[in-house]
Amino acid sequence: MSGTVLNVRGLTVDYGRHRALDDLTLEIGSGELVGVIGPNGAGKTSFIKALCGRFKLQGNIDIHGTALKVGTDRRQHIALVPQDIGLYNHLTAQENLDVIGRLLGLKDKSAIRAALGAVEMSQHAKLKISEMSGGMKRRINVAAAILTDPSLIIFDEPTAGVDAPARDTVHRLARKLADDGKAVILITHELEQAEAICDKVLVLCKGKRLAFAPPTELLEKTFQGQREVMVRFGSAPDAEALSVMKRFGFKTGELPTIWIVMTEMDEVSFVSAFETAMHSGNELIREISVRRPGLTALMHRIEKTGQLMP
Amino acid sequence: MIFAVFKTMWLRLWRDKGALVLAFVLPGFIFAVFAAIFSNASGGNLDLRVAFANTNNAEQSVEFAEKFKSSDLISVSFEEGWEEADVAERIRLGQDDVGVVLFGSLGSPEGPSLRIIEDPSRKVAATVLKGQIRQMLVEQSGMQSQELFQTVSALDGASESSELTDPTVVYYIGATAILFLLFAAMQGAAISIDERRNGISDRLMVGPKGAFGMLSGKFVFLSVIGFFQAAIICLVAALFFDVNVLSHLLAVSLACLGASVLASGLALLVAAFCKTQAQMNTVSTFAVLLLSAVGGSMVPRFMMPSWLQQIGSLTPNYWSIEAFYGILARGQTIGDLLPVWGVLFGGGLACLCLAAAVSHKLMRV
Repeated sequence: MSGTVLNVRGLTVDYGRHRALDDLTLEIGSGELVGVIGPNGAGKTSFIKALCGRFKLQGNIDIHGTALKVGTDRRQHIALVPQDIGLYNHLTAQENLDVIGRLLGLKDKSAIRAALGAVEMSQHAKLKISEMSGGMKRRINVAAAILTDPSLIIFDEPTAGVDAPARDTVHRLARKLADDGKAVILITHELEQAEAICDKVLVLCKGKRLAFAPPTELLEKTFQGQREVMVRFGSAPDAEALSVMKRFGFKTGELPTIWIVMTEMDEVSFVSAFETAMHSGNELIREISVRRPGLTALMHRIEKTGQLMP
Repeated sequence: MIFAVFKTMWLRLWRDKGALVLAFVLPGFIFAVFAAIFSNASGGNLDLRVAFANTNNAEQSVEFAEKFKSSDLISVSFEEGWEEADVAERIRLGQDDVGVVLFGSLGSPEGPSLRIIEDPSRKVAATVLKGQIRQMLVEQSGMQSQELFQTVSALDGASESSELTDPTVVYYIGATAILFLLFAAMQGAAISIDERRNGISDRLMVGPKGAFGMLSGKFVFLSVIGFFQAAIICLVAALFFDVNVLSHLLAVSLACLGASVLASGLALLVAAFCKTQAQMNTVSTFAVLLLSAVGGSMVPRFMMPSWLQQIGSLTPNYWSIEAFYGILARGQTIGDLLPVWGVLFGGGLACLCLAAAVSHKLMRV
């Protein structure tokens, strides 16, 4: 972190009696990519709206030392990459950037060429958005955000409902922008990707900040050497197998054929003991995997307990 | 900002050829159809049966009576010695559609000189007849039309102009124009919903102008496009129906712009309240059809019961019709129509401000 870009202190957002964000404090520096994760209703959207000046708030938001209030012109500071393709389908990429640039008061046309170049879309400048692939649209969506050369770029769930290549494109662009010195906030449900590309992760739950740390540090602190063991059956386990699963502390995952447990035991010893106990039930098992728990496991814990630690 | 929004919306329209045809060809065509149907129905080809009695021997009255009886536009029943009661009886029995009794001297400033006896079930016949009597009076009076008109208390909306054209055609200029302006503006304003839903508005909210800047651009675009749509209808009226638009070019232009401004403001207001395209489609279709039906775009207002006519005066259709009709049928000047301009322009701007307030509020939550 080569300098603080965003400094949030005591940020609180209320919707009537409902507190959507409660006393949030954090700093994001130049070149940092921060993932914001949390269950639905955690306060992620309220955080973005507050940054974009959508409503009056309690607390302070400074960018490069400048306090942002409702009505403050944020163009030079903040840009938003919306969840949907925030572009006009009937216009070409270049026309879109021209129009959005004008709407944002941009006078320097070279910024359009620069933005197209930054997302590697210069050769498709004359193509209409409606004629583009999902990945290309996402690139132009990002290009429109960097037109004003903002110091903070917010990606608001940019990969929701998109295919894997388009998702990778967006994440690669987010990482590239951070590497180029921008402060980047990535609101996402793609937890494994966030774990891989983010410098820090902000975990929100019910409006409160549960954690703000690098993913490895956060996971190490949360799970303290635990391992996640996942067992996948070919079909739903029978009563005998279920009894063993429960004895070893397994719980069902997303599907009735997938069972997961966190263990502090040595992974080889645990799997060996489990297989021995299963006897004939072993024939139903298709896969046993052991891994360090990631943000997905962390999110499951938060959704169940509302806390990082059990 | 206004130019940027204008460009966006223009390209959207330009690249959608179907919408382009809908915007600039269909209104003129539909107007021509309406005008042809209704001018035929209320004009010379309508076989209107009129019972006529003249109880006055003044020179001008006799001259008018002769002219009236020999008119090609109507079929007149007349017998010497008929009184008002005879005419009324013929109407009651359905022997004629409408009756006219000339009981005073035309040109006398003393009071009413002509009475229309109408069958309540055939009010349109009386209305059509009034138009034709006006025409005859104008032709007979020459430059003294004002003097003659003052004597005809049964006829409302006397005109000073000797350039009157078929009032039904003129009526449908305003009626058709506002109908299409509303439809087109609603369709154009729906882009606001797209912008809110796909994040363009969110993206632009970091800028200094916010919702009002965006809406202003749309308002200008819709108003300009609407102006040309209405102008095309006027052009069709001038070319194919001999409506004297050229003599009232400035006033007619003002009417085109005023109707367009009101339709644009109203459309942006409806779009501000709608959350989805589907909702906008439903609401706008419902609203435009209802306003047009009540306001007189589909059926002439004089064919409606009075209570419905009163409700109709709350619609943009009514004021648009008033503007065009006032200029082209009644010969009113720009100054005479100040209240109409107030409603058209003031109403449009008020709707724009309200739409901006609603959009602003929506974006802040």
